[in-house]
Amino acid sequence: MNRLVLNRLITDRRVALLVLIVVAFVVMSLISPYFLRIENLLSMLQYSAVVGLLALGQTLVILSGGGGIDLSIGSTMSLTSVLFGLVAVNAGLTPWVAALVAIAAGAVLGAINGVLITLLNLPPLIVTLGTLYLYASAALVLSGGVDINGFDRDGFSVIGQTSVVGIPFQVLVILVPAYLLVALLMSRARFGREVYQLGSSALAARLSGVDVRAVRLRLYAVSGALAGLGAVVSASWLLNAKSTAGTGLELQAITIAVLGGTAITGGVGRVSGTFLALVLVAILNSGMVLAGVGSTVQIGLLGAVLIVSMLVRSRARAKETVS
Amino acid sequence: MNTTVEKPPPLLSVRGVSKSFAGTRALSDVDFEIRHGERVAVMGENGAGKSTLMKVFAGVHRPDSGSMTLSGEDYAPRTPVDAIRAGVSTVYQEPAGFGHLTVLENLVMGRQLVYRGLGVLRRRAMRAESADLLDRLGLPAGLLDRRMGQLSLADQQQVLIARAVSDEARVLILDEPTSILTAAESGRLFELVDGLSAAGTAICYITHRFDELEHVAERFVVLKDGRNAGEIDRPDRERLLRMMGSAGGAGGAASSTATLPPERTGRDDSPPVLTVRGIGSPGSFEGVSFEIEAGRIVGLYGLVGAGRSEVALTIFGEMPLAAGSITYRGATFTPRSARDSLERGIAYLPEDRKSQGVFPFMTVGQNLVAAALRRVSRRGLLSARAERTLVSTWAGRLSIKSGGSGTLLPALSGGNQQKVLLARLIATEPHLLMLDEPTRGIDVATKQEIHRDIRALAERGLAVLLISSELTELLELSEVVHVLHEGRVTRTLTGSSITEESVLRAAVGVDA
Amino acid sequence: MSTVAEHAAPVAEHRATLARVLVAVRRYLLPLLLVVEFVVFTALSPQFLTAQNLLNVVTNASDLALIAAGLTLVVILGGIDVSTGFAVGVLAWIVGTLLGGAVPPALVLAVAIGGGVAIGLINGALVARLSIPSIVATLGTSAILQTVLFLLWGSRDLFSPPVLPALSGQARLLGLPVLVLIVLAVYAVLQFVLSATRFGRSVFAVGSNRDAAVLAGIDVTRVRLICYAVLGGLVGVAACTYIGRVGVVQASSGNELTLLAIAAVVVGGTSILGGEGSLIRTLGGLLFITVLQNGVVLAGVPPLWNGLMVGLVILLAVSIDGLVVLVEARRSRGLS
Repeated sequence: MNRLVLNRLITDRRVALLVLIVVAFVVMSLISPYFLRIENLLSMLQYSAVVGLLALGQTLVILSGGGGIDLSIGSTMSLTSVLFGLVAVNAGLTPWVAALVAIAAGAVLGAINGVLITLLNLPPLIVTLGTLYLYASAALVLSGGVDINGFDRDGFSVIGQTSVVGIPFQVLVILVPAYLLVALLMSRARFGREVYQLGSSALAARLSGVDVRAVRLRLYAVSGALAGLGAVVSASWLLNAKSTAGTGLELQAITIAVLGGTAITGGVGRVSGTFLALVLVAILNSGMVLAGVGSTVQIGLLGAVLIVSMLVRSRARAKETVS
Repeated sequence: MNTTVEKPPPLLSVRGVSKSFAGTRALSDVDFEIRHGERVAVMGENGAGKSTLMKVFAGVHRPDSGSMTLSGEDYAPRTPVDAIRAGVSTVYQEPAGFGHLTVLENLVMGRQLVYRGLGVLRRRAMRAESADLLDRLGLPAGLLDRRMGQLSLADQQQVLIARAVSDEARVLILDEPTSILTAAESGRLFELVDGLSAAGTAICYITHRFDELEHVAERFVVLKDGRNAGEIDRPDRERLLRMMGSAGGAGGAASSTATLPPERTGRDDSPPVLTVRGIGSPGSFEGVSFEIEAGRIVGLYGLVGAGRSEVALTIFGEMPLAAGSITYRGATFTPRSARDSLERGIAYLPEDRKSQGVFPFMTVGQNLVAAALRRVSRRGLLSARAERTLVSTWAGRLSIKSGGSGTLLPALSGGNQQKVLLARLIATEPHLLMLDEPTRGIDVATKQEIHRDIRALAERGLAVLLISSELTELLELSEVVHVLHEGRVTRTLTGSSITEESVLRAAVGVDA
Repeated sequence: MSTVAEHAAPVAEHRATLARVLVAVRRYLLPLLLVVEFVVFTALSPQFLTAQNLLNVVTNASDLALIAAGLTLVVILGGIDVSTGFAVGVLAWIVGTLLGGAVPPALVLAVAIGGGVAIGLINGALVARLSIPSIVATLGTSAILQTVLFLLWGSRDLFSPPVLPALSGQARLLGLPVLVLIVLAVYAVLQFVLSATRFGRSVFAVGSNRDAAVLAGIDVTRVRLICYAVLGGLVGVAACTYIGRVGVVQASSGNELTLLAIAAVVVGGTSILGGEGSLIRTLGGLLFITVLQNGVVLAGVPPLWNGLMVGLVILLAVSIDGLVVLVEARRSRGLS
């Protein structure tokens, strides 16, 4: 094989992820006999649907560069979850309408981030830190600290409780299409190319005719909308709209995006990479659950994974540069 | 010249230095020498190895073979800091100081005077010392409390040179120092540097600017393909070009001796593509008026700070237009944004390609189509075929040398990168092309090619605004030169009245 | 000899004056907001402007203050640290356990500080030695610390007496809690170091232009490690203070401090991009936020609204700052 191509393959994060996925799969199935059971694999996928949507939004935001990051998606999910519950239960509307409201609200919440970041040139880290706080509090205030349920009607549970050809609905009909759609957008659409340009050099992008503000604003709105969608999926899955639905998920989303090869400074990264990272994390998660490891411990492991993935990247980078 | 004067021993002596990067030979067996107080210019085409050689001196790269001595002792810096400590300081093209901190802090950073123990700063002593330093160099003492980031590039450079002096540099390396300066500022730099060489500092310049050679050095060393290609002690342009072995040697004659722009016939009655009347942007320039007809190249010259780029950026829509009117292609034009301008056929090539033009993580092809995405897409979706066609068309027309359109842009030489950026703009099929320092920091051969391309574009009917601080370039390409001084056009020169002297006088404001 | 700089001077001077005015506005914005805050809360509640209340506020803000002080250094450096909260939790647990085992308080304090420094050095090493962006590195260590705290907690809340009277706000000197004096001393010392020592200036240098700092002979890795270590040490002291204040360690103890510390630094006016800032500004931001929390409660706002207010205020303060910068940028030429 051509040396250059081989080189490219080795340094392509996605190849490494594929290898790791296979390894992890094998290891997990050796560790626990229950791993390969269908129920386990299914619940593994179901869990990943929610986080996956958030990680997708995070990938987009980070790709656009300029310190792009969204620390508020967890809180956005919590708030839209509460809104969903209020509309579906307190207002008595059909949960499907409530779902649309939640997604739209998510877009608005994301757009707020976008406006503050693009119009006032504020650092995304600080803005989304502030909205993280703001939205989480708003969720608590609106819900009174109480979970909402009682919206299992009009077939709403089909999203989170059913399967199509053995694969959970939320994965087959929501997660995968979402990833496919966004991946296509990024690689084939003009908008996607503009996002990469923006992440590569914001100034050059502007001078080449990219509407920097509009692109960034849209990305944050999309990220928020995806968080809203995640809230809907989670509500249908757990049949419960919690005011803390998204707490801590931003860490997981960022980890998956970075693990998938998205450079924290922007301009580099692929949606497919994020997907592979999602699969890997889902496998690890599942294995840990089977081994009796609690969810909080998984958080720590995820943190370790994040750091290690950055280490691997910086080693690879060091090799690429001329001394 | 005929008296046998014993030459003093060299201060820095370099023998047989070679350096390779990942298989490519950057330097092969290079020798170099410089004495106390000598001024040497190192010249050569892109890829000739000048920058690499200087970086070896500066401790950035370690040579694979060869040896260096400084004042007779072994000199083998392992890091740039080693080099500075040994007395070899470098001032790079892009001033690299601490923007948030004051000039005083920049001058003393890392070597502050402190009271023993906790490292408490001795402010008064440092201030006195620095004020003295600035005074010795003829720089205003008021600079000390200015924030480095608020100074002009030229002033920042001066501060960095002062820093090198305070680091007790015995050899001062200047990498293309005048590429960010205009002629008058360059004059100031040369004065400063001459003072240093008179005091014994050895000065080593890398330069591409032929119109400065007389002022710059006493000896001219040429590198070609990583090897020594000769040296002379007279700024003989023809000989230098031949030693550099550039393909543009033939064209070199044109570049070095041409003072008359080509004659244009039959274009004077065509309506202007762009007319600006009394335009101004707050704090940058005001009352600027000129027009550009189709097929004309209009030059804009001025000192850094006079407002040249700002004029173009305002027309382009990226800076606010506060006064005056602009007529474009016969209709009133209100600049809105880069995006809007590009759509209407106004294109701008930015001054600093590294920070304003290049997309570092994207390929040559992707960089080339970057401003013409709408032309290669339908209903929001990009067409791979249309992209490929566009890329091959323009890469061919501008003879861009790349390892295939899948290469990342930064892998190309500076000259070829600039060609890609130029192609990016031309691909948008503009009517008005504004070029801001199009050949800055580019080797002679590619410079010739770009000049040829600009002329060809004009001949095809494009209106071109050429902003340049290189007089040779302006003289060679433009038929009309507007000179900016402190935000106003002070003189407009045409035809044979365009001379170095007349332009410079206007730029400095002497004949205002 | 007339120089170019002098030619361009008149135009530049004009612009510089305007910029200076705007910078002054920004500098006095926070004190102004503080005054407004005091006025509003005094009007809303009679209990606000009492010595008792104000002293309480200040004393209770001590752990946050210590963290914010160390964090200021890291932010000036150009970094960030989101692991401080759980670090406090873990260290507080260790402190509580040691005190329960009758270990002498002075030793416990030393262990807390040592542990904090260790955590800080790990963060610093990840950033400085392994070149991991600080947001990512500290997100990672935060997660790990969260897990460690959870495991240590083991479903059993840990109750603990204060480490030292001095660190719990009980001991008094000249009518003021010793703790407050300690905090003020820390701020004074750090501010002095930042502004008047070679090390302090090198922190600014690294934050302003890392490459130039290397060329100036500054050991960037060492500077970074020291700053993160200092933050870590202060986190250790904060853990002791925390236990003195709260008295119990639970599964997510300390978490709330992370964001508040960053908020204090940012609202105070230190730029998240690095290269500038001061301890005094952080003190101002800290005061603003803690007084806000207190005033809001005293004014009878339901506790759940607390977070909402703080979040809004943070955004508002940062937005105003951003607006000022925007206006300032409009006045200067060139591409923004």
